Amino acid sequence: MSIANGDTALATDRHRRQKLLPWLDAGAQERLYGSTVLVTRVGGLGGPLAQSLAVAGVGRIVLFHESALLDEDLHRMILMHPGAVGAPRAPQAVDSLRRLGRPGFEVVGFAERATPETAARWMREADLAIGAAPTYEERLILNDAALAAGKPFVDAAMYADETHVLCVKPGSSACLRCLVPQPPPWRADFPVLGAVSAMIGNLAASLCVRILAGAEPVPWGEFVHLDAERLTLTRTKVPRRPGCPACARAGRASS
Amino acid sequence: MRVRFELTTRLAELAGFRDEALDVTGDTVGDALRALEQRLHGSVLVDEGRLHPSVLVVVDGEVFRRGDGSTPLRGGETVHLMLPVAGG
Repeated sequence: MSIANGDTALATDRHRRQKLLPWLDAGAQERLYGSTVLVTRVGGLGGPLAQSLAVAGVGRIVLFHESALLDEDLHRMILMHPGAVGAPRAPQAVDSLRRLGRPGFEVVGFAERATPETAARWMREADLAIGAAPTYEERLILNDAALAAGKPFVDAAMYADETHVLCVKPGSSACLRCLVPQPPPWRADFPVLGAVSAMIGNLAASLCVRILAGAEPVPWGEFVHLDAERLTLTRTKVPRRPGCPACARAGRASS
Repeated sequence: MRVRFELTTRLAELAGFRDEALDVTGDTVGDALRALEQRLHGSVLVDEGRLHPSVLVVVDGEVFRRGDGSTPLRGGETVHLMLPVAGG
């Protein structure tokens, strides 16, 4: 497709249209270009989330995603390649994201689970951590690492038609460990439609962009529950849990 | 006293309903929770008769703090029980 004369200048600024948003001016866009995010898992939820961050102009994505691609992943994991069943997922996600980012965009991928040690190491460079893993334990690892570093954390999750997101402001709002003091029993083969996991992934991505851009409002500490079947959205302010060890570390990080 | 319960995700699966009015013996939030704990007795989300501590309990829009079980109910309230999930 050719670009008509006169449109050439418009075509040189990839992010011109999103900078028309009142909360995303040129300065905020520069903050996005210079930002690093850390995300655990880029599957049915984290994949669309990372995709939206890449095209929005985030400077660097550091991702953790263990194990190999299954054919049954392909109905929701849009960063994976249908011809690469049996191959590790992380390199496929890195490859897909690199194609989407602007020149200079960087993706660092690890074909393993995030651990407290690796999360803490990367949180020294990251501006934001994101929980999109299919286990509470990995989400809590990133929550804890982000708070210990004094950085925000966004958790997004789903089950069947129900989804939720929580934005954590260290030392100020409730955190994921306030909400989930001990992981409940979990069903690893949870029901999922790719459209629904992508929906909450993209809602979380829009909140991540707001946080990285320094825009308000952000629903800090609110359990935002979005039901794709009933088409309802509820917002519940989660109280900070007295004695929460992650929040205590956030207090030390900010002091 | 009748109280309306609204449940999310696995809680709804295990209880067999998303929202339903149940009869509650007593007049406190603790009594209302006991009614649900009896309904979910034997499930993975009830341990030693108590709902899992990661269930977020919201009564008419107000978060209920565990330990405030004596908070009175008049009947007709909506008790919303939300279980954070980990699907990603």
